[in-house]
Amino acid sequence: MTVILVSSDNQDFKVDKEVAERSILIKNMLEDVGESDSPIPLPNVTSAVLTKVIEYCEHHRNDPVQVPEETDDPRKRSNDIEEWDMKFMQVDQEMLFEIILAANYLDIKPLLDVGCKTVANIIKGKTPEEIRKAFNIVNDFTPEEEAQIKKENEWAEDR
Amino acid sequence: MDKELPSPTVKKKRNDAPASLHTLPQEIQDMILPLLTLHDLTSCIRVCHAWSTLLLPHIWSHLHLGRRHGLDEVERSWRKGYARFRECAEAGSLKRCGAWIRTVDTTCCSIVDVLLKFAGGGEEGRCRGLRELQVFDQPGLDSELWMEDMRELWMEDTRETMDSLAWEDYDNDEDDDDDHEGGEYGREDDDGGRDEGETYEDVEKASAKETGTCVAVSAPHKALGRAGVETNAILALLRQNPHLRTLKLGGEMMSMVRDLRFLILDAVPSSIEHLELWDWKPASRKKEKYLSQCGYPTYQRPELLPTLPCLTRLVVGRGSVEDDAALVRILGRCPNLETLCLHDLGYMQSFSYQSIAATIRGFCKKLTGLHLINCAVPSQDDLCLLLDACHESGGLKDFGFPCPPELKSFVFAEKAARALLRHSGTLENVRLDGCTSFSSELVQELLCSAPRLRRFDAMSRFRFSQMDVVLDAKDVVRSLSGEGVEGEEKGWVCLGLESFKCRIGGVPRPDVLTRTNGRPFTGPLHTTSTSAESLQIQQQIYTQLSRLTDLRELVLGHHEVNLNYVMFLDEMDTEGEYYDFDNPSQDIQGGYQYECLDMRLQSGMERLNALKALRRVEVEAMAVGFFEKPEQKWVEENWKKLDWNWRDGFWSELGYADYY
Repeated sequence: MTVILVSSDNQDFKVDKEVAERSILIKNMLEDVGESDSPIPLPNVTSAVLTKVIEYCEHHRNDPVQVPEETDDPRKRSNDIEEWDMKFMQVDQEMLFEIILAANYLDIKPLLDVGCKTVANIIKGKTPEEIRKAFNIVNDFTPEEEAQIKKENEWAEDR
Repeated sequence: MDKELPSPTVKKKRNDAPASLHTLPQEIQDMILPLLTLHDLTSCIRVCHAWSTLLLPHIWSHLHLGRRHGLDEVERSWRKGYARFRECAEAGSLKRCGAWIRTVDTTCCSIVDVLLKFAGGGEEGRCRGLRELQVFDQPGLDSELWMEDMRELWMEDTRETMDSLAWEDYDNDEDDDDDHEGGEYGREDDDGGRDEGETYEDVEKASAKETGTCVAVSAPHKALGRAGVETNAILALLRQNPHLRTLKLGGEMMSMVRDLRFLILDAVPSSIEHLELWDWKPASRKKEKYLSQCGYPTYQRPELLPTLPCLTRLVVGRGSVEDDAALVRILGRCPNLETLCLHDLGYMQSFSYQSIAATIRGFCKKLTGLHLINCAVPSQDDLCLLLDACHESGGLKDFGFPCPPELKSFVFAEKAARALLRHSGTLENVRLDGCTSFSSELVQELLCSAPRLRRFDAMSRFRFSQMDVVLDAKDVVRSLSGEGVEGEEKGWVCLGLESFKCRIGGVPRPDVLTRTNGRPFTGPLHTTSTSAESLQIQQQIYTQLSRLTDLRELVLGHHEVNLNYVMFLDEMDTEGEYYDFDNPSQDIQGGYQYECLDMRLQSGMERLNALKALRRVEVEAMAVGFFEKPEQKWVEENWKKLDWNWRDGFWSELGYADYY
């Protein structure tokens, strides 16, 4: 059985129901609507992003459903991204954030987790300049301001 | 640039700005930020204004300074940490960020002083938003400060007979080699540069005025001088934080004059929910005299102290004789107290326990948790008084009385046990490790009369030569056979039990022929039982256990036998068996492998297949399902949740030593 998803730019995506139901949002929609062939509009997701999200769901179609019980310390788990997921997440910054937003909207918890971990890993161990470069951020501090901020928060640096 | 950021809770509409960390919805930020270390965050705040605005509150909300707890702590002199934080504060950070501080957790009490000194004038900058304050002033054993203090203590001892004049000499000597950072709190704090809260200032002025010189506060006993200064800082901080929920104070600085402690107690804001007071040891008379010479104000007890309506958990620990006074004062102010933990109060006398019991009876009508951790309660009558006082207010839910071997002399005997059993209708969590005289019949009675029981933990953490509480197999079996008969015991009623940690002894084991150390067994135990009898008894116990379908932990013994320890015990003390030194007539009470369940398929383990929630199974001196293939398979199939890394944090959260 398949369902049709419609992206914000009006492109149709035909996917297996099992794959689409990786998204809790779609799963709940389908349950509410019951048997129906009508396409599901996703006005918050562009076709480019939806393509990526579907790729992810296809790959993970057989994963066991995550049990929300007993969440471990998140800090401990920031490095345990699967290899496929890691490759999957090698996209430009804008796409990365779009995927995260889409995963949040579509309620795909594992994808959201991977996205957040990826963002954290980009930040980790970098200098401010390197972070700016990674996220295309313009430095709007004067050198004095930056020095002052560094000075005021130095106590936290070796932690 | 956009200094005025939209609040992060406002969801950005799509496509009006490129997505970035600071434009993500709050719930996603909350997932990413915990993945970053404090160090990462300090880089992030220097990226741009927007990130800085977003992340500064995260950096400052939790101030953890000083030594870290735990084994992997990085050895870093807190002195250095203090100096660094102070530099940041001097650079103005507290003026900007002080208002974001919610939690202060430090082992360096001088931080409190810095918080006051540099938070600056306006209402905004001040540290007025605290929710949690923890000050455990415990310099590491290896730190410079400790060495210094030891030297001072030694000096103090050697000068025991000298008068206060001699102290000043010592002080001058000390000053010469005392020019390193951080050692001069007293002096710093006495140079009059204060502009904080009135109370703080007053106390400071008083001390400065009366001593005349600043030297007097900084030494001779530096720790003491510090104690005075920091007490005042804590006092001031308490008074300007009316929303504080958690306060934990302890460490070296708390061994100070009684009056100062009472000042702190009285200043606790009424918003407080969780109060912990550690190390309130009485100051020696000499210290008292010294501090009073320094001009600390005499304490006048206010006519009326406000109640602390939110206080639900009170912990007092590592204190001494004097504690009953402090305890009773606080207890009388908290009508809604639910949990009272007393830790390591080794020297409290009977009358102290009596006054505590009387106060509970009169004021704490909602007390449902009583934890006496390593407390040498002088007699069982005192314990009965406490238990009965709690019973009047509806009955205890949680009770703990872990008794380490060194407190073995205390007897949780029949009378006290009966007092506990009166609570059986309400009891949920009971911890009785090391209470060797809590007899098997009484354990059985508790299990048969406490329908709400969730945890019954009565195993000591390590194997001692002394016995644990032992539930005799005969008692379990007897209650089963009486099932349904009126007036007889009906079997265990605690069917919601989640944790059962207690030895089950008295199981005949004719198959066990050698001691744990390999030598032949020659004692009087069960040599007459047949294998069939043994099997029957074991199966009955499994039947009883199989009804506890919520069990997560089933621990009936120490599965790991440290052979060195056993050998040592065998040869030196106990001939391989537990030995009751107080009761030489009953020499052998139980054994390592003897008398214990043999948890195998052949002895009826499969009756436990309904225990689907099991995380941990431990029986004496064997690894369940480890050696034989069929058993391994059975365990894998039936106890899918077994997980040796799983921890139940219930007791450790209450301050108990973790069982594992």
